[in-house]
Amino acid sequence: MRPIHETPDSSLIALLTLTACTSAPPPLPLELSAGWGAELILHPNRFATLIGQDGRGPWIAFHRGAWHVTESATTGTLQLRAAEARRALGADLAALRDEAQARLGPTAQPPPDLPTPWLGPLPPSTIETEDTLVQLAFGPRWTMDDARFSAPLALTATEARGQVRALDAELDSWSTVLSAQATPEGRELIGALQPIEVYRSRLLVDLARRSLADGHPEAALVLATAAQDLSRSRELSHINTPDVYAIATLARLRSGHVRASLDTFQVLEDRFSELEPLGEVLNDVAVAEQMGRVGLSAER
Amino acid sequence: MIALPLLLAQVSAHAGTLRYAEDQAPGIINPLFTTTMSEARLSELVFEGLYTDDTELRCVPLLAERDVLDEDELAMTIFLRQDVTWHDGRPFSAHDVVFTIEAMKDPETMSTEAGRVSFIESARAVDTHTVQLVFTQPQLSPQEKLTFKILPKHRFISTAIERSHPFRKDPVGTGPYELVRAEEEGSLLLSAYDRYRYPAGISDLTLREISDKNYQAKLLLYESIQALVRVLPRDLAVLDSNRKIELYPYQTNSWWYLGFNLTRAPWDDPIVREALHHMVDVDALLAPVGSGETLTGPYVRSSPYYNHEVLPWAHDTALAAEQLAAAGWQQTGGRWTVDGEPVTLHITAHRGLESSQEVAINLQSQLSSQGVNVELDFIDEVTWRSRIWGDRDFDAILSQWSFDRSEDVREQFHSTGGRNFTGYASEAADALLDAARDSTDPQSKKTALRDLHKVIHDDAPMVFLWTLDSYSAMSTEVEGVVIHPFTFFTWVTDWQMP
Repeated sequence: MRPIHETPDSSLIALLTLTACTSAPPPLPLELSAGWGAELILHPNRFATLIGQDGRGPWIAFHRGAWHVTESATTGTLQLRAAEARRALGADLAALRDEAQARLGPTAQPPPDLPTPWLGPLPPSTIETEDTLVQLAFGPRWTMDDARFSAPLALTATEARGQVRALDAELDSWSTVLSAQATPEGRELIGALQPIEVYRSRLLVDLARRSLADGHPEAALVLATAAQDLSRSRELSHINTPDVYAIATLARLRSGHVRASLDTFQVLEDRFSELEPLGEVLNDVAVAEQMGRVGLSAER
Repeated sequence: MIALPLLLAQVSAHAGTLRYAEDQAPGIINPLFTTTMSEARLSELVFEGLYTDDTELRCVPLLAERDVLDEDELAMTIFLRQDVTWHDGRPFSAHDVVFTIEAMKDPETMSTEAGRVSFIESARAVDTHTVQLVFTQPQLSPQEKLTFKILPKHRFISTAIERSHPFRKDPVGTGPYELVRAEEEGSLLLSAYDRYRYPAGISDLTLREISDKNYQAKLLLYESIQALVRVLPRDLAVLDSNRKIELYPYQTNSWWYLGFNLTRAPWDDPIVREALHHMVDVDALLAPVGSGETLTGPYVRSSPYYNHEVLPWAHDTALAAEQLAAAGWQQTGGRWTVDGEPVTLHITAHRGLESSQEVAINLQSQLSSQGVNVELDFIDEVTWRSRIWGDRDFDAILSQWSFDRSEDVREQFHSTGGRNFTGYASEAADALLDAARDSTDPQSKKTALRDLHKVIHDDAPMVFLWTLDSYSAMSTEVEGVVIHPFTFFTWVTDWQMP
């Protein structure tokens, strides 16, 4: 068994070297040993300390994707983290609006402004600190401006699936080791908070964003779908955060699956009524692209 | 450069067998009579249309090579591919295209797909590989409508084709897979057509009929099958967590309903139907089935045509009782009667509809507890075809419709619709459906269909139940998979198996 503090990078590199020989995707930017997971699980008291700084309410709001609520309800680390998430989501929604508008063509009505809170003033998006607790709180999204998490990513859909499998294999191994060495309280945290699943989801969303940035919506859709907890695919949660749906919607729209993009956007619209004008623009794109078709239907 | 035969041999050497599960094997394999999703999926493997969707859902030529649309948009000349052969080796030609259109239009054929060619006034073979179509009215992009499957003329003696024609068991298409044989237990074996234009990454396909959905998931977990077309919502978590299985969204815009026979008393009385709506607790029915969303009309909630201003019928047993009394029903010994006779609602469901027994039994329990006798009948495909589609012999049916991305409900709700077997007839609905069909303005179409949603809801021809999360599951052995959002196998030639 691998000692808990040993980095899994060596095995990951071996795995990726092996898959690289069979034209597999480029390496994942994994840093599983960075500390946040092990800190949380092996030292659950630190989790209590972290939560204690802000109280439970803002944390619950944060993990339900109500990032603007979190921002106004707290200060410090959690506020900055919520602001960062909101900034990224606002950019996703703006990209979605622009894509929809482009598909409607130059004669379309002007697009709706994205309502607040999506375009409200933001605190600084990059936080500089050496505080381990802050790092713990941010996890893989610690610095969104870090080139590792924002550079374009050229993947095909098949390569993206390979990435997901490689990531899952690594996380499974990591999870097993952590669980074996965790205290009972730590194991309880693993079950209750699903930190590894959250980490996985966040990382896949970032990879999906990078794929979109590089013009690979099919790969982005694979990654964004893999990021979801599909057993609760109509709900926002700590895993199914708003940007999971925004990215999936944008990926579907850019890959031509306009009607399917409405399915993922509906989850956001149900939760945030202020997004209805944007939803109506997406509806218009879907209707316009179906004009002239004879529909198919079948039983069951 | 590698020679084509060598390349094909290499591909063939690496291609495997994909076994996939359907709740029910298609009763027939003839695209003139497609009524179920399993038939639509199988047709996609065996047959081809003039045009199809590419992976970005753009309409692209398939059996067609190119076309020229007249300036007045009333006619189009289509130049066909010349490298296509039928599975029996005969060459594909313009005469096959003309024959198919005429067969679909032939009233004696009674094709369920006839509505798809109603915009074509006539079809003529200009030469062996050129077809001219004349339309009933100008068509801006007729290619979008020419995706129906083409049949081999040489396998029929007339355009009047009966559903029972032997072709249903011995189909010949131009698609990437040909039927090898049907097994007694419901399996269908297909093999990659060796003269197809592109090499297959999967050499053989087996459709396995597995009516028990719980068993389907187990077979996938035990690697006895490689693909499961629809995953039960309750199985999503276990399949999602299995590292040898991948889930793919397969959203077919499907919704469940309890449809009344509107030509049969007392279900022809709108007050009675409204009362039954108030008796049904849809949320309670949905809970054991899995995650999904309840509906108020004939569209799923994410549809651009869904009217979000329409409110669901309230679950209100007291109001239901008042309405039944107003309709002339009486309560005798806790049971509803009409003219002294107990009223019984016979609900018919298809055996192949997942979870239908559970839903029907719970529905029976709900209505029975409010004094309405309910009898249940679960029938097979053959009986369903004759009793529901043919004779329309039912009080109410529990079923599900699936739609492609157009979500065109005309066939289900227009008074002339070929799939309108509940007998729904509304002048207002007809006018809105006609307006939507004829509109060239997306805003007008959207408005008309949202109004249609309200009209249909208010007429209460059926209890609209829910749409379920829909995913397919596939072994990670199958690579390069992209699933068409309706016909599933459209891009199967890109799939690979070791």
